[in-house]
Amino acid sequence: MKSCAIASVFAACFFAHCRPIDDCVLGATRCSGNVAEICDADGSYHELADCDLVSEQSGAPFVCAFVDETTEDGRVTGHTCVPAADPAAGGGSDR
Amino acid sequence: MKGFLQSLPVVGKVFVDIQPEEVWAFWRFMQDHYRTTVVNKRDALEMQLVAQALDALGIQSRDRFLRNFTTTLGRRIYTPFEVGSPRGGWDLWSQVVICVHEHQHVVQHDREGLSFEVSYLADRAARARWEAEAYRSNLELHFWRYGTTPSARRIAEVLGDYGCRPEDVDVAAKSLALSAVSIRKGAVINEATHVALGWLDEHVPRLRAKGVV
Repeated sequence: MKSCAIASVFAACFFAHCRPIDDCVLGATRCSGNVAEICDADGSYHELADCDLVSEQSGAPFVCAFVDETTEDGRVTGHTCVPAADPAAGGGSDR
Repeated sequence: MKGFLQSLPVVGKVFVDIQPEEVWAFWRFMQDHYRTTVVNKRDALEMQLVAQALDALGIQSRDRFLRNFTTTLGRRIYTPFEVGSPRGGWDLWSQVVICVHEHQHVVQHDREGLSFEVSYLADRAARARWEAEAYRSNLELHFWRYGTTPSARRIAEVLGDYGCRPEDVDVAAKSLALSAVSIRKGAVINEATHVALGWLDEHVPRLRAKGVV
């Protein structure tokens, strides 16, 4: 019975993609290689956008970079994919 | 409102931007590409059962679930409308947008396997993440059509209807806002959008916003 319960928990954990907690701040972002990631409410980073894939689909090279823009939602800051030729792309990706 | 106007006999044509047969052809194309089937939600016993369960749990009223939400399970897409027939809340363009949104869920299903469905049901943060990704297609389609992106915060707040917590909504809003920055710079992030834009560019280029390449 006990082994069945452990197996069930393991299976649920496996299928639900249990992963180590990064202890990151909710909404924090970073570049991991050329992938933009964002910190979820569960304290782990998850992929926001794979800039290599974006490059393939957009027909132009995109790189992960930090942006700081004012939009109708207010000020938006964080890491995302921007065109390689964009001024933000030259600002470094590790801010 | 627009869907209701489009559904009116005779005068409805005045409000039609994309033709019903174009919407139908678009759905057909996406279904062929992703090997999906479309089922009318009201006719599906499994959706009636889900609606009852959600109602009983107090998560969402039965009628609201059946009338306002399109649902995807695996490769079956349950729509609360007949594709190509406009009605209140489901104008023709919104039927195109929801088609791409739901097919992005199929992409997630293909990419993640069973863990997509399990985490969607069991983990509110994951559900917010999957939906934020799918709603990104709505942003991408809006940009293609109008050359602007709508409020990311307003879209993210819809996730309250999915049982997500305020903190999940906050992350989704930021994720969508950052995606919108990329989209305005020409990025196509979602695979389903990439596939859809290929068809839309070829068959209904008149709908594309001027200046969007």
